[in-house]
Amino acid sequence: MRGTGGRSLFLAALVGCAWLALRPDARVEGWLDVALAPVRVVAELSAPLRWMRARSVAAAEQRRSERADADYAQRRALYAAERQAALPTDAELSFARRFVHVEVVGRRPGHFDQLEVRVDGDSCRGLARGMPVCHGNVFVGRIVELDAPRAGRAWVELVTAREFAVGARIAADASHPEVRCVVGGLADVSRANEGRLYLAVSTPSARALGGASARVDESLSPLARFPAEAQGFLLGEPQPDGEGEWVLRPFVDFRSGLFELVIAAPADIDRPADVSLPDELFDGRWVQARVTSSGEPGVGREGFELALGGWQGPRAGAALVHGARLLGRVAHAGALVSDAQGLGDRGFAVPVLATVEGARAPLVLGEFVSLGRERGELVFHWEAPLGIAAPAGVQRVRASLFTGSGAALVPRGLLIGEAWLPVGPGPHRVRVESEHGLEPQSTAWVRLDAAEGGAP
Amino acid sequence: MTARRALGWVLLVAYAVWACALDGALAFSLRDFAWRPDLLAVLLVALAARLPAADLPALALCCALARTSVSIDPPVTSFALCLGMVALARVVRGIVDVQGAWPSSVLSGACAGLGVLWCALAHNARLAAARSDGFALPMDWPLALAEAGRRALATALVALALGAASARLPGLGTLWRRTTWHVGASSR
Repeated sequence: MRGTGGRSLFLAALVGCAWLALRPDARVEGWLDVALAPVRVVAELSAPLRWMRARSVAAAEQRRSERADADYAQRRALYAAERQAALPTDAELSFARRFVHVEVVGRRPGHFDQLEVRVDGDSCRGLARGMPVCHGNVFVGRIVELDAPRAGRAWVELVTAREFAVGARIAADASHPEVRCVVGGLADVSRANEGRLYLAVSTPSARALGGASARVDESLSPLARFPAEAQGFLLGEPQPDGEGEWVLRPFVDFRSGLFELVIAAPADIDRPADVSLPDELFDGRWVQARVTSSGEPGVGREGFELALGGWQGPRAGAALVHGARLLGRVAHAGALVSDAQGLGDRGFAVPVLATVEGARAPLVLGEFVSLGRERGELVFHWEAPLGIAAPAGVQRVRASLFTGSGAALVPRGLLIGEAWLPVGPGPHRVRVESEHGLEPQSTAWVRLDAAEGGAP
Repeated sequence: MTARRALGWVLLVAYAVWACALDGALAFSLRDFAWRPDLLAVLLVALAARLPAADLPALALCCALARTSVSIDPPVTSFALCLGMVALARVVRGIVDVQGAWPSSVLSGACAGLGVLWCALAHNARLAAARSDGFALPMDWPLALAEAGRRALATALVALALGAASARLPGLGTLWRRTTWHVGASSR
């Protein structure tokens, strides 16, 4: 720091780096990644520390390989159960319809109320705009675009969208007459940041709504394209909003709890028999990466460096696995190296699906956000807007946790760990028993965007 | 720059990488041990107290490169961290002599503690920026302050014991030891 000029340059560098650290700019960071590509060589200087752990790494990998078959079997069972759970259980809702499975891939950028879905068989043949989309007995939205953003995908608009409107009927009960109304958009009492979403009810035919659930009824709407297919699916439970209006409490978590859905199509559509999607673990979109660090020096962080950068394929958000177990995710893909977040890294967020002991259908839990580790266990924040329904007296249930759908480069059904889940609406702190991140490793398989690799 | 000094800078990068990697290995092996020292801060402060002012930016650069190579924090966070530590050391050494064991350990502890807060703040800001739906969890300040305090104390204790020794690691003396000619020149 010789002279005023040197000091000014130093201060400018300090302020510039601090600013970019707090307000990231993708373009500047892209240039930095290229400029820092030689850092890949610097990372190799820590190799002696890795050599010292070679035996424990080999032992841990041997243990993981021994568990691999059981993990794959668990994953296959979960996949079949999830598809079954997406179909309506009500016989009336299954009648004279054909259900086409779709998996949620992500949200449309800038449109939180639109989902990108991957259609079974990667083909949209026989499907049409306006077809209702459901989960079990619950109506969640309609198809708005087919074969977009790429072939075999579609955009689904959720009933929470501002301009969405669907006719509804609330059956009469002992003290209330039948009510017809229009449902769509979020009610003013919704608190999205707390995970509390309510559907808005407009133009009800009576002031007070009954206790029965609202169901889709578009028989009076001349604009509805598939009224027969949507007829009878559940929308929500009426409840007063405290300001003299009525709203519907939905039966699904629209924010982060939609993974596997079905399109309710007419029974006679021109479409070949359903072919389920191939297992994503064996679709050739994986590449093996070497781990070049022996731990994360930052406090409260968990992760490792990979000797594989964006130039070799991986993108930010790509899953890291060993067998069928999730190890973490690529946080940032540099030119020749990538930063990988472990499950115990604070802020690590993942959609979660659970199988509960004694229950046939898997539970959609929604998003879990990591709060770090305590005594070796992972601690997650779980918003749980709907919670888990359990018999009276049961405080918690034992569950195996897996990744759900909705994170673009994280396949569903990857094992996360075991946990006791609290019942009832959240938010909850969930402690997850998981060996991931506790055992050392020398390599990890990284998910790619396109098929050009192998299988874990 | 002489070949010996160039070798000194290369060795500094290697020592800094090992300090960060050892820190990471300790974090991995002693996961529930909260009193983990920041070895990079100890090395950086020990050298910042001795190096000529003109070499301080190079010191920050070497340490930042080393940290970037083994840490999942973004490069700009590591660069801001190391530049900030060097700036703090530069200001403090203008007021007191930080080559002594006690001042050096206090400064190392302060750098480590502030480093924890800085990294937590930057990580949280990035998480919030990355989420388009605005559902990022708020920063847990009490936890961050507790972690910073433990890190600062552990680092100060290690700096007290090893601070001066870290500046005398093989090859680093060439960066700060003045030769007879330099001493003579400065006294003229």
